[in-house]
Amino acid sequence: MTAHRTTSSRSILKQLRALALAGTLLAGKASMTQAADGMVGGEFALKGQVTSTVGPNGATGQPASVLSFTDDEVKKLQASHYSVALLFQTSSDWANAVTLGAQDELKALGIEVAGLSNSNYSASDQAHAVGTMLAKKPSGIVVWPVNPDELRPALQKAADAGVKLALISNMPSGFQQGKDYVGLVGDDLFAMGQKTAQGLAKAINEEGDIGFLYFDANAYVVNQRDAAFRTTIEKDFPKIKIAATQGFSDPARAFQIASAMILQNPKLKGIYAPWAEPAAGVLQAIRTAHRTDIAVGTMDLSNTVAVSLAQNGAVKALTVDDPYSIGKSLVAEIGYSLIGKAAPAYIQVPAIPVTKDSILDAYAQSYHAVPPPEVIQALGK
Amino acid sequence: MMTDHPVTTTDRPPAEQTTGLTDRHAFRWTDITVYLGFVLVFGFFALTLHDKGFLSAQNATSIVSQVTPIALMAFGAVFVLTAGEIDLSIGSVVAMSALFTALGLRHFGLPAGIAFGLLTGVGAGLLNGLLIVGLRVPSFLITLGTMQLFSGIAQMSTQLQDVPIVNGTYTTLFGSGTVGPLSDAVVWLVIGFIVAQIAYRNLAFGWRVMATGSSGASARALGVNTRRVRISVMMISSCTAALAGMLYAGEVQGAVYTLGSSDLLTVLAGVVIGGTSLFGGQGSIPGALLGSILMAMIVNGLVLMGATVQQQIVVQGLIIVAAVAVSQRQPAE
Repeated sequence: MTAHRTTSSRSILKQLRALALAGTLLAGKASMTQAADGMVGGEFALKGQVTSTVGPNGATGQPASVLSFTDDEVKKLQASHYSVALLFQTSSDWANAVTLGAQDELKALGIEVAGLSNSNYSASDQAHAVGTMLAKKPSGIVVWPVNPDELRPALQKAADAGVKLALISNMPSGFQQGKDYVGLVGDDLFAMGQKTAQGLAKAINEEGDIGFLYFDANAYVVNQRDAAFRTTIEKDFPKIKIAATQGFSDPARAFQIASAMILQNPKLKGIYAPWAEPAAGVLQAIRTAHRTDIAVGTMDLSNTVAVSLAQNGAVKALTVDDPYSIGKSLVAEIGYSLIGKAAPAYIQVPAIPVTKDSILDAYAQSYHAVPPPEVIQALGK
Repeated sequence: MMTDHPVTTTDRPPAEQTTGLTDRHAFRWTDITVYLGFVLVFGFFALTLHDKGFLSAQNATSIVSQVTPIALMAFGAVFVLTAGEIDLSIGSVVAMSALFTALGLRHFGLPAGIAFGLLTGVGAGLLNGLLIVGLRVPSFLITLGTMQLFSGIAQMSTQLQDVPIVNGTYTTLFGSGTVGPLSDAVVWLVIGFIVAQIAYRNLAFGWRVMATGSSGASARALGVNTRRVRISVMMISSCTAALAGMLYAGEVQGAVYTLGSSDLLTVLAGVVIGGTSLFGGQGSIPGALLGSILMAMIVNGLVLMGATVQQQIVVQGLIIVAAVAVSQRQPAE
């Protein structure tokens, strides 16, 4: 469901989107996770070693709960008629949840929305959007950067004009907190991969063969999570063997790839898929091969995946993040800065393993929404 | 098999024989490209991958599931291209029909779900056709616009959320059921092929489509309502895309706005490799079927070989170039 993590490939205009997706899905400088140098994209997913998620300049991630305002601070913000613009890479349900969190916090602090922009994975469009928003003289800008370094000149201009910047997941290399930006908010990428690995391992009694379907394109967040999954399996579960490894750049290919994995590795007990869309293809392959004994581990909250989990289907391990808190935290960081309060350099939202029993909580926490009727029905509620 | 739609001079009314679409019985290598390509690629993979499952029933099932939606859209594309038009919006119609079907199933049940999906195809095709004919704007430009329009509607319809399908009857009918060892998608494929082949080859409609694409002015002089033909082919194209979307939804047991987003070029590649002209006037339904299977088989074989994403893209590109270099080659100037 999180389309910000998806890619597509070969169709005429879709190809334009795909190029942007493949190249820029939360792409940029791998500044947040301890990573092997010089590897990006699928190569990092295959060979990179990750052990934890760290913030810019080694900053430790702090939970969103550290951000709070006194009544006086809120009154001060409400009286000042500030405004904040929200600039996203793309529209997606994940982005919708971030927006919802941001809007709730903006409302609570009495800050106006200066504008909302979706640059459809175009770095140049996003740079133009920053310029357009600056004309409205916002007090702050929340940015989910397409390509942080390409966005640097536009963001620098905004910072020099005194606009408070809060960024999602990534930032231009060399940006200084307090001077160029207020704060960074992101996921615990290592924990996302780690918890998915732990969940899948548990589902197969910590032994046997699994398939590793990884995203073979330059996409910072997905690459980090894929590497974290693989690293955890290799390091912590010696009796589990990654018997089949195959990359993809078009999620629509997941069905064929998973079908081939199952065909050529009949002993497979589990398959990892990086996010919901390829996971749906893996589920289709499992059904087509009549192999209901194969467990699937994946990430991000998707209705189709949630139904499988709720029905005791093939999805046995699911890890989600907390986009609503990301949105709230971004605005709170800007609020801190506007009242001259020292803002945390890096807020990190947790990775949340989801089970059948916690699906409703996951929807409530991550998306501040109730699940669709199919999920409720599958839960028997 | 030869390209199966040059019109003969004997099985059509005399007036129809003057459109210049005659006398194409002479053997041409271009006509058998897809069949040759199919045999070569199948033979190559059968030899090199026989111990990696290429010839197994399980793999055939996987290929059929993959091919069916693509081939159905390819049949529609044969009509559109033969009429001298193009439909870039099919990928977006796939997403829209899948989502509308899923929403129909959610709120109103099985008959409504199926009706929503099919009506999506009818409506999208009618809109495309009316805009092309009414505004007198090339189909390339109109469908470039409606591709975005339909995609936007699909995204707005559920605020980008995916919609699971838990109606067992629907999923069994549309791609998740089985016929022997194969997915029941094969039934849709066979029905689609027979209907398309009869309409294209045996009905007067097929000839009118070809006449329209070969020379609109001549066709009109012969009494063909080319406006109606052009609207009809756009509707056929959208309806096949809608059916493809419904099959995807049944196979995946859910719908999301990204369904079909990478299908357009695969469909067009399959169709042109199969001998359908990009410039109108002639085409082949069996060629489109074989072309679609060829495209899926190439990906399937490369995946079974363990080729990387990049290698798959390069090999696919090379095979498409080689195939169209033969099947679409223009006469020397």
